[in-house]
Amino acid sequence: MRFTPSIAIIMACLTAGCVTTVNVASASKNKPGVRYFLPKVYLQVTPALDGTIKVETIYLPDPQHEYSIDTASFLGNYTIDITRSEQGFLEQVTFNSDTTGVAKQLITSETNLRAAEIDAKAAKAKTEATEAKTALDKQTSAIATADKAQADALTAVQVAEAKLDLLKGLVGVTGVPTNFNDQLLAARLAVEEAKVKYNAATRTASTTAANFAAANAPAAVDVKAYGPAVYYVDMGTSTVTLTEAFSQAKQTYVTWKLPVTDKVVAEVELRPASLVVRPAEKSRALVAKVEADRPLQSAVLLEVRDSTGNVVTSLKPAPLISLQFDKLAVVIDFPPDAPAGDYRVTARLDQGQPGKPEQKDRTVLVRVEK
Amino acid sequence: MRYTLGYLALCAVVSGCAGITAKVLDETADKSDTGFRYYDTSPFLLVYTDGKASVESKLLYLPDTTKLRTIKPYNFGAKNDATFRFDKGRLIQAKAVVDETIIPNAVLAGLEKMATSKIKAFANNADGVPAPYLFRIVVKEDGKWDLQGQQAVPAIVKFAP
Repeated sequence: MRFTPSIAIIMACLTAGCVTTVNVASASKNKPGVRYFLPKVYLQVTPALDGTIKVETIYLPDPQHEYSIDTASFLGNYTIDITRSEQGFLEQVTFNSDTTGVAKQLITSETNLRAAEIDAKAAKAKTEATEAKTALDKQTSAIATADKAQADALTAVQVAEAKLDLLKGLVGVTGVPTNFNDQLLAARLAVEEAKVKYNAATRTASTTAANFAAANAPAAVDVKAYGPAVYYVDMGTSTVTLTEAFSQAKQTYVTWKLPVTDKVVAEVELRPASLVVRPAEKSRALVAKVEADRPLQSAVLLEVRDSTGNVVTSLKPAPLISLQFDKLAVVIDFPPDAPAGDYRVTARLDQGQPGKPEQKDRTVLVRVEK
Repeated sequence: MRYTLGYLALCAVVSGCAGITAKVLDETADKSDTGFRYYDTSPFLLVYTDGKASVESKLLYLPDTTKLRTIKPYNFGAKNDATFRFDKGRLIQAKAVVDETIIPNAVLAGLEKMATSKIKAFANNADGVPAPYLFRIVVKEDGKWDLQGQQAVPAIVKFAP
């Protein structure tokens, strides 16, 4: 076979994997190929409500400089990888004769990167949720602890009062120990001590609950702000000017206020909410004692209803309600001949300050047993 | 002779040719060129007040839209594995030198002072904050550095209705 130049060229092409051309043309409507833009440069000035500003350079696609990338290969096995940013700017162009290795590596790297990003986001979200739950658990635990302390203190008061009542019932009875009067005095002192501790526990529980409510209430926000000013960086050969690209004055401004719940104020409570009364040993008096969790200015009886919900008018005289000297204890006196049964006693309590009444109605369930 | 030419041709194409062409474009040539378009980079000085009586300045290397360039690989009978990296319209890899004019620190400090002298006082305004200034850093024919530019228009950035 004669060895001519044309044969030589063909052989070379077959050997070397030949010609690849890349054409990047100004894009028109129907032009095929991968599109990308050159950027236009802007300065964005964002004002903050505290009077400071933040200046940033931003890049937007320039529609006057849009291009399309097309390739052709003759007897070649090239790969061209084109990477663009979100705005359509060219980031990387790779020509490679080894198609599989690079493509796989890019895909794997991209996948690993995305996977790592997703994992990082998930881990961060989990950490934030855990921290929020821990903080909330801490607060609710503090409330539970305070409530338990209050309940325990109330039990101690009731136990001390029961002991005192027992001793009172022995007054005048023959055969009592010689130190009976000392025991009676000690029992009275024990009751007063238990009441003081109960009042302190009640105030702590109220404060803890109020703090929790305040900490978790959303704050009101009333926001009015201009949007950022955006200037186009108009470059000349030897100078540059900044001209307004998007008018601040023509932007739509948003004013919003977050919903605000009323500030939570702990309301007065009477404890216990339900109790049993029996006639006293000697006097046969039917006396129910409850405690308010904060000092009161007054306590007034509103109504007494029976277990069916009907207003009780048959009790003669009507039950009496009185606020004790310590401004906390409320005593409800039933007539000695009040029938056994359940009674819902509603009182109007003034939890305010002198000259600034703040009235709340509270109901206590009293079971009379005979 | 024919065989010699044939052998020479074979040798030429077997060794092959490949490379990159890069050139300057104007807007007219841009319409017909077939390479990857990009911008060369130029230095600018941004000066603005932070709204709290202090002045900030920043050296920015921006894609210069007056410096349109094109770059294109070619290969004929040869491998040409190449990678071009771009960033916001600037070519940052494939060229031997990234065209960022090195500005000595002492010169930059002098330019910042020059910028301050060109700026009218950043007077506080009840409606907003003074808009920033942007200067192009240029080298004059006598080799001296200079700033060319002005304040943004409009000159006040409003911050509260």
